[in-house]
Amino acid sequence: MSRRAPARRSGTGSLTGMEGLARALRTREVDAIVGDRDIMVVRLKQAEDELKRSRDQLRALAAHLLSVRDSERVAIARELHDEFGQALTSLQLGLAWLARNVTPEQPTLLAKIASLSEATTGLIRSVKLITIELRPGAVDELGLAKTLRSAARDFEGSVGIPCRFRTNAAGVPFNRPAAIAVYRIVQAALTNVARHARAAHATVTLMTSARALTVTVTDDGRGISRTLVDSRGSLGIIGMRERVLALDGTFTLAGSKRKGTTLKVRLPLSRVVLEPGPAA
Amino acid sequence: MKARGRSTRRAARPARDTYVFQLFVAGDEPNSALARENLGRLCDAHLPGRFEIHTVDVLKNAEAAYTHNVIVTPTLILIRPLPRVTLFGTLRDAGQVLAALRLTGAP
Repeated sequence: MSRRAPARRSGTGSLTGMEGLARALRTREVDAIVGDRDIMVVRLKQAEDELKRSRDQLRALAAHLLSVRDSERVAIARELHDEFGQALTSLQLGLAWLARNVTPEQPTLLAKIASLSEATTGLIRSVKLITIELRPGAVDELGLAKTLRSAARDFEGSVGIPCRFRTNAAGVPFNRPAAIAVYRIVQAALTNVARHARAAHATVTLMTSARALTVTVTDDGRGISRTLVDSRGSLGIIGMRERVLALDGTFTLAGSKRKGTTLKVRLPLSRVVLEPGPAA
Repeated sequence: MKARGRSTRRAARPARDTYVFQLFVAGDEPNSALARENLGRLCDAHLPGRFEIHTVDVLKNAEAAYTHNVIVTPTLILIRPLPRVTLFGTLRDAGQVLAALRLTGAP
């Protein structure tokens, strides 16, 4: 067995002795480690560069896919609104005309018309809801904070689980892709709460700090399992991760039986706020 | 005859106070290549005509690494003048390298 001479401490700089060795390792200026019998070549820097390149490609791909998906959603929403919306409105008007022109002596016909009219009204409402779901126009009109407050209120109204919303970002000018992404993430998270959590309460927060935007969705339900978080079948979670990845952010989702589920998304502020336009 | 995995670069006119270095590298790995390049540049600038660099490729000559207790590459050992000095890394910080080799203020 070979013996190594103790490293000599030197006051002539941090390139010698243990200090120098530690620094070389820390700054990845080492490319082989010599053992007693073997020499191991390490390619930390290259591996790191390759990993970064790969992550960048993945991020670009995720952003592209999301952009395509959002464009398709907008197109479908437009078609739904233009085609079905118009047709159903015509149908509704036609039924109203019929109702006006049917004599009171034909009560069965009148009842049928009223029933069809009610069904048509229901269809119009459904198309409108699907359109809103597909194309969150409110994000453009109201801004992100108000849209999320409205989403929390709608969630409470439709699902019946009280949902609080807190923010300090009411006046922050978010760029559209980021606002849509955050809206979709919260939407997916609340859908999960409604479907799986068995929660009594939910909370959505949208908070900005000097460097980041943090979005959380928490509930006091039965807590998501680790298996489900990592499952390839959890499409909603995968979609959320993709959106976060595209914005260079971090995503954590954890559950416990006692504390419920917490989703936390942290996005760099530089990626989510609107860049100032050129001076007029 | 050139030793296995070993190459030597000598300055044109060896003098009495010739600096003799042994540089341990791992083939053409990036850090090793940088160390080789930085040491060559530094010697040309600060020790013109009075240096010798013996480069040892540990991938070809592992025994030399074991014998000299080299732990990582790149490692530079100043053999002469004594006392010996051992430096680690790519030698990119010329100021610190010169200080460690007692060459601060050298022409």
